[in-house]
Amino acid sequence: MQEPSFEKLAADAAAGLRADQEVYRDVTQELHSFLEDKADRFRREGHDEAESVGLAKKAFGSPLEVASELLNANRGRLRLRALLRIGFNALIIPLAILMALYVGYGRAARVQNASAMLIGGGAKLPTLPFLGTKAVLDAKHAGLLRLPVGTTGNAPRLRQFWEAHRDDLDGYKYYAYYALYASGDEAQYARDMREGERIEPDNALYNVLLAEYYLNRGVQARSDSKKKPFDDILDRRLFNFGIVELHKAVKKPYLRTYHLDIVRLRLNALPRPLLTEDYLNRISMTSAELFPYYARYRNLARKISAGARSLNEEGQTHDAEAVMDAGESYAILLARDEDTVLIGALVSTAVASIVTKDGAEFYGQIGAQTKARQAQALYSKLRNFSGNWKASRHNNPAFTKMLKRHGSNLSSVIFPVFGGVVPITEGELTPGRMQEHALIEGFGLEFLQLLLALLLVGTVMQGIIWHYRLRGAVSAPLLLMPPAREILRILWWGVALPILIYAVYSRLPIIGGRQYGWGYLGWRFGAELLVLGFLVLWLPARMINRYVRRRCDDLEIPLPPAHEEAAVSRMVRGMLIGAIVLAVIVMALPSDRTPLVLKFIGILLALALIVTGARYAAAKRREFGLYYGTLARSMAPLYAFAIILLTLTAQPWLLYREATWLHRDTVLLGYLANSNSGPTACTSIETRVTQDYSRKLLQVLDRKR
Amino acid sequence: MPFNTELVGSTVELLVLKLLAERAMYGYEIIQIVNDRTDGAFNWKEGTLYPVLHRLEGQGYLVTEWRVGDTGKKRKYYALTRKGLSYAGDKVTEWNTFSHSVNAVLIQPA
Repeated sequence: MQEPSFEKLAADAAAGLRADQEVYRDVTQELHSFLEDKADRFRREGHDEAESVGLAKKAFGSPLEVASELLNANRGRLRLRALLRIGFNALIIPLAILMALYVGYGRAARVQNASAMLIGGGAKLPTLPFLGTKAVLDAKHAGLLRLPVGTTGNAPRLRQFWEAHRDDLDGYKYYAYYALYASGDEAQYARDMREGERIEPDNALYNVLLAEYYLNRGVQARSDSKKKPFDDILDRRLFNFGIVELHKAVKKPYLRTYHLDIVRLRLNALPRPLLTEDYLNRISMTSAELFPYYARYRNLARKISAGARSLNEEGQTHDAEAVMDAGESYAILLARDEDTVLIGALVSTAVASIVTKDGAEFYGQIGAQTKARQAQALYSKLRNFSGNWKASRHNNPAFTKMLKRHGSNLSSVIFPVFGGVVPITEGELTPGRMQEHALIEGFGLEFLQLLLALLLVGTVMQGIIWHYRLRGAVSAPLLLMPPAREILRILWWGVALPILIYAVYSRLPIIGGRQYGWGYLGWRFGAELLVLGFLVLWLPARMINRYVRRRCDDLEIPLPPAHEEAAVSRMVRGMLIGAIVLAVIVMALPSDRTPLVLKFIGILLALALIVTGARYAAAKRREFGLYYGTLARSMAPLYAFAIILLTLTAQPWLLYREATWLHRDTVLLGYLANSNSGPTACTSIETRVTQDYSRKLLQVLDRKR
Repeated sequence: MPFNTELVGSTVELLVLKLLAERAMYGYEIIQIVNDRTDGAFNWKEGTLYPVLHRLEGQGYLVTEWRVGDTGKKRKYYALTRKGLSYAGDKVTEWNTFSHSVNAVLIQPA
């Protein structure tokens, strides 16, 4: 019988450990090396080769006994490693993929919902726990609001709400809110407005709404239609009713819609805001709530002028003059109501401009020259006031520069709209800027997690492919399990440390550059995130690659020569880049001038390049398939750990930073949550600007008196 | 004189720990040193040494590393972890106390 070789002897002694290929190979190599050492000793003692080998084998004893002893000694370790392997394959990797999907979907939902709120595009997606509170008002949260959203369709529900709360302290406000959206036939509408007058006799709102209702149907203004550019009384009865309501309105002490109170009520009923989209949702709600009926205010102004002119044409000059006078009073009444919402103040200005411009013309026609001059003078002042305000938006380079340097992109968009004299300090811009930094870093992090997830899936797939290709071979690709210390070392040096260095560096005073906005930092911010992303992708891959290569060398797994590996990588990379370039060129070709067949061929060529590259790599690497399969299988858990680490540390930290800065913001988004009792507007700056604007507007309007 | 197998077995772990407390060693080296220091009194075999080394490694007292030695051969070196060093100290103390107690009985005062 032929004597077994050292390899065979060692393999037989380690046979009980075959279930764990890494341990089996490790122990086999160890025993083999032991036998070699022992044979060397006999050689040194003067025995010839055959004797030395024989003596070494004899001294080794029974491989069966050694196998049994080794199995007993390693049983616990093998069980633990088997559990770990199952944990890696069935728990860690799926968990990391789920986490990446969760984070990816969470961001997609945030972006989509913010976009849907800002520009009204696309469907809204449900948000996930930990990744933003309710950006979308689902039925449950909409139910939390005390009032249904103000729309004409919701008018019956608004009325029901008022009826249920009519005895509340704010009951009269709920009725005014209902009145804004009330509809129905003439008799019903009139009854509704009379009810409002009864509830709140001093509020001109109901007479104004009723006047607009009647005049809109009773008078045609020359600006109504290009085909019929003349004033005309269409329905005498409705026109008369409208004029009566107008005169009643301007005699009342105030006009109040209470919509700001209602918006505040609604905002306070929302779940606590947390992240940026929650604030965008509030802005979206505020805007939607405030805009719909401004058009009616402006329409009434046009109809008043048309009515006055029509009456004058009929020879009723005295009545016509009274109507035009009422128009100016209406403009002042309106200007006094709006004090925190800029669009409201601008509508008041537009109404005042219509009635003064038309008034100047009208009074001139009836020969009331003093009134005509006064109206013209007032109109000129309004035009100057409005023109100066508009010009101030563009004529304050110092303010624009400060916004660009120290403000967030949002502030650079919003503040210039309010004019060039926005009373804001550099310090007030800080929270918005830092919130934006956290938001962008969050985007960067999630992109990184996505790339890690793709690498994870890619390595898992490669492992499966190599396993399939090596079927029937001596050994399938191994899942090497680095010691916990090695895993921690890779995660620390490859993931945690670069991120920590970035976090510390970027927050350093002056050097970090975070005193500047993202728009101003520009390429630098992008470059920092790119370098960080590259390091976090490259370093762990490099480190695990080195570990796997070293371990494979220990376990006598054939390794490809480094230069050969590099050459194959270069070739594959070249083919992949070529395919991408080809695909981009094909996609960029103009559709109307490129035959579809040409595009199809181009895409096929690109795919062929990718397939050829993959097949070339597979053929070249086949000889070392065990190494490549082992490398792929062993890299996957590391990527999984990196994803889990980032999801559990950097992700919540950035969300916390975003929320913290938002809550500190007193001028932009955070203001909506921080101010429950103050005036309601889209931002506190808007309040400041509008109050200043309205004060100046009233000064202009009152100067005549 | 050949020793009782059980007696030898009970000291393997202690001697391995004590030797590895001096420096990292590979399996054959450990056997060589034990043979040298005991003039061949302990005839350890693979079946004696490796199970002990693997068990201690599994328990976290040892770490291993493959290194290329002076002869160009790759060998698996064992070294004590911090936990292993402390355990080795405990085992030596235990042995000293034990042997002192046994001697106290065996060596009767004249």
